[in-house]
Amino acid sequence: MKTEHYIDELINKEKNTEFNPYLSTRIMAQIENPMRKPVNRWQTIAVAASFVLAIA
Amino acid sequence: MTELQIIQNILEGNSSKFKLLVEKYQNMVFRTTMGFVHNKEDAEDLTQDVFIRAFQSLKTFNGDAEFSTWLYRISVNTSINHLNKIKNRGLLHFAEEILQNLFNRASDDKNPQQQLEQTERDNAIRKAIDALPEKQRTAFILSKYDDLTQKEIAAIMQSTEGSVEQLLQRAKTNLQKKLSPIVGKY
Repeated sequence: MKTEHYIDELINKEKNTEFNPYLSTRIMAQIENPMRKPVNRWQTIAVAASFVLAIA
Repeated sequence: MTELQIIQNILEGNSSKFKLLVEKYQNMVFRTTMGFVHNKEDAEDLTQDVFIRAFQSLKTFNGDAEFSTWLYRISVNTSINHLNKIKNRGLLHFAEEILQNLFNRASDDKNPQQQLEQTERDNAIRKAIDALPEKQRTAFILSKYDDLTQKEIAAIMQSTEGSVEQLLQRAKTNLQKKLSPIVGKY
């Protein structure tokens, strides 16, 4: 039961995560201008990770 | 204006009307994708991908199923494809996990020991959900993250209520088996 409680707790936390209020605007911009290249988030993460590792 | 009329309007070239569908369903799609990736930024990116795919294949929507059912299918497929694609990006995921934990800890009011325990427990739960076989995981996410009934899940997975019930039961047993020894530690 304890396990189930922790699973539900995590799921509720994730379910209640709020997304960017401009998400629909971003989606429509991509749909109406498909030539716009979406930002590659993995590049951003790699840069941020190397920055943190460098100062750690 | 009904949903079918909106879709007809979009197919006739009024693409700006698609925003009505995005605004109505973005929360639903975000929640589903969140269940697969457990990360806000990834879920937002996937939500965008889902709507772009839906827009591109809107002409294949024939109205046999509810639009939400059709969109759920795209959400599940897009999420699973994404996870298969990033399987080999273990190192980046690891780095991201560290960054996320750092930010989470900074904003939390628990003491460091409690924060560490919760982070480890949450990560163990996420890993256990991610390790479920694909169909069990899909049924589990649709049930828990989207609060859908077995009938609705069966419609999305193009399966029967009986087999969804079995999948959910197996998912629950698998999670209990995997997590009980870990969660019991805390």
